Amino acid sequence: MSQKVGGKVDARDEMRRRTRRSFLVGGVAAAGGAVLWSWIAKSPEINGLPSPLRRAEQFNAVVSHRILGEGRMAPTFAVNEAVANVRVNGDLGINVDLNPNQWRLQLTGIENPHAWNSFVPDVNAWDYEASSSDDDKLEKSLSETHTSLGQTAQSSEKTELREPGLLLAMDEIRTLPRVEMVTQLKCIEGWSEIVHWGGVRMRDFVEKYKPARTANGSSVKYVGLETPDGQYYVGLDLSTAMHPQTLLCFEMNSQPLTPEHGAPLRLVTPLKYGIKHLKQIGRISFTDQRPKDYWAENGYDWDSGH
Amino acid sequence: MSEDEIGAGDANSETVEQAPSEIKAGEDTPDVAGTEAALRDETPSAPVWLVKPKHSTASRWMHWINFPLLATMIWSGLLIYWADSDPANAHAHQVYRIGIGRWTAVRFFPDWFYAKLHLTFSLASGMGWHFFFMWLFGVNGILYVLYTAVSGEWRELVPTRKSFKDAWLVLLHDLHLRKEQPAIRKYNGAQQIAYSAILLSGAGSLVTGLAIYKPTQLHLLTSLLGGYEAARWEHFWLMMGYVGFFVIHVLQVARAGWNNFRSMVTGYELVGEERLP
Repeated sequence: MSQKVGGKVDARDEMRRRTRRSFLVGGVAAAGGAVLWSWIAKSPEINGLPSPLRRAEQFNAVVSHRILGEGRMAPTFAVNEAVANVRVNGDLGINVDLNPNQWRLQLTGIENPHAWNSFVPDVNAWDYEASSSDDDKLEKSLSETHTSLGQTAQSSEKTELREPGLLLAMDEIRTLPRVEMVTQLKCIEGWSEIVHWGGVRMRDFVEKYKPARTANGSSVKYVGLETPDGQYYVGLDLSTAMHPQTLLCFEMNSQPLTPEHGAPLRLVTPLKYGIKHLKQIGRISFTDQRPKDYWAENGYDWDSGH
Repeated sequence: MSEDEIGAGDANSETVEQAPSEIKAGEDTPDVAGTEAALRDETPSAPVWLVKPKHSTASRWMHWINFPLLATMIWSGLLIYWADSDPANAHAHQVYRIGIGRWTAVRFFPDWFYAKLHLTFSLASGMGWHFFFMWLFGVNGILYVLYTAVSGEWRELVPTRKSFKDAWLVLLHDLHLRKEQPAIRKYNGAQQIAYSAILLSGAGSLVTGLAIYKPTQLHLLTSLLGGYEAARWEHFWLMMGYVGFFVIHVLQVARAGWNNFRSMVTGYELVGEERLP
């Protein structure tokens, strides 16, 4: 709308024209931003997180694995730097009354499971619920599980969940080389504590009980862990399980783990947030399907590496 | 976006002149624009209206894009802070507070603040938004720095030794403690210092953010920043710095008036200049 006066454009008209156009462009850009925002916020959720945000977290995990690699070591500390009373942050899936004698590690997805004495045709038949005073029940559970060895499928309610595997007692896990480690446990909420852990390397465990191979002969990619009651479960990349600082832990401050801290066996993996440190492990499964993960199902990053 | 819009930087040739009319630059009065009579008025002292390029297209776009990006980063950051500041946590308020040792004067933030702004129980989605928008925030900031370096605009921005004295005079003037106004330039000393500090803060947010994001795998970086808690403290106070800057920035923009604000949108400002004889 510039008005020409004596061959010259009126400066203020020129400014008005520019102003109009720039505010228009700015308005369109702002609307574009609003569209981007609502597209993210209103996208269908994947496990409690709008899909663009979920995909961004998966992308971030790939980027950080590419750049940082898998073999970085968490810094370690002197034993006297560790806290004496380690914070208990949640009791999901933990049965504090679990009888240590009545605990077995259910291990599935290993290569050639029949070769082991601890093989059972169905690890699900194991009963964790027997109370410590109820040794008869314990005996019964043991005999039930082991007599099912070699039996043909019976029409029990557990038939459809039959999973062959090993039932390992603590003594068998303790045969692996014992290690101690002082690392910082970081909670995704923000707090952290230096903890003195003791246990065995999960790497040694995986090398002893080798994961089964997939149909095309490649190694499986994941490890799933669950509490005995199945309420809490986490998934790890096999590379995380093979990290030299990933422990199957049974000691804290040189004492046996207390039930609140996950007795008899818990996971420690110092490159991941605390949400991956499953306490009171009941089952370990090697699998080629990415295992379900309790906190990832509730909006958190599946990778949760830090 | 038209050619004109893009070419703000080299628009000197477009500068248009118009003979005297109104009084002050900055007034956009809808009047009988430049009549012939006015145009012929060639009194040496009469001002001439000029449309002068001020802010380049690139810097304007990146400035305005940064605003919603930073706002999103702060909002999602608050969702994350809530989880660490939740009084149910034994560790609460150790990092985000003003205090010494066990004595805390102010904690960030009080419960009513989180409740009022609906920031509670959203840690997972806060992380989701934060780690999506970090890319956009970071890329926009890095592009801005590269652009400023390559285009030479850094010369207007980076403070010189004189800037500090100038900034002091600007401060005294703005607080009405000194009458004389320091020389008007595109950016005065106070602006140079403030804007450069904001750019450094942006770099600081990226570095401390990275140290918090991967504190274990990048533990050397985290240690360099004083450790995990120190890095979080720094990240937090940089954010508080943005909020403080925002408040002052908006007040100053309001004070500077429409012509100045408009120049950040259009790239041009309307100035009345003395006509050369």
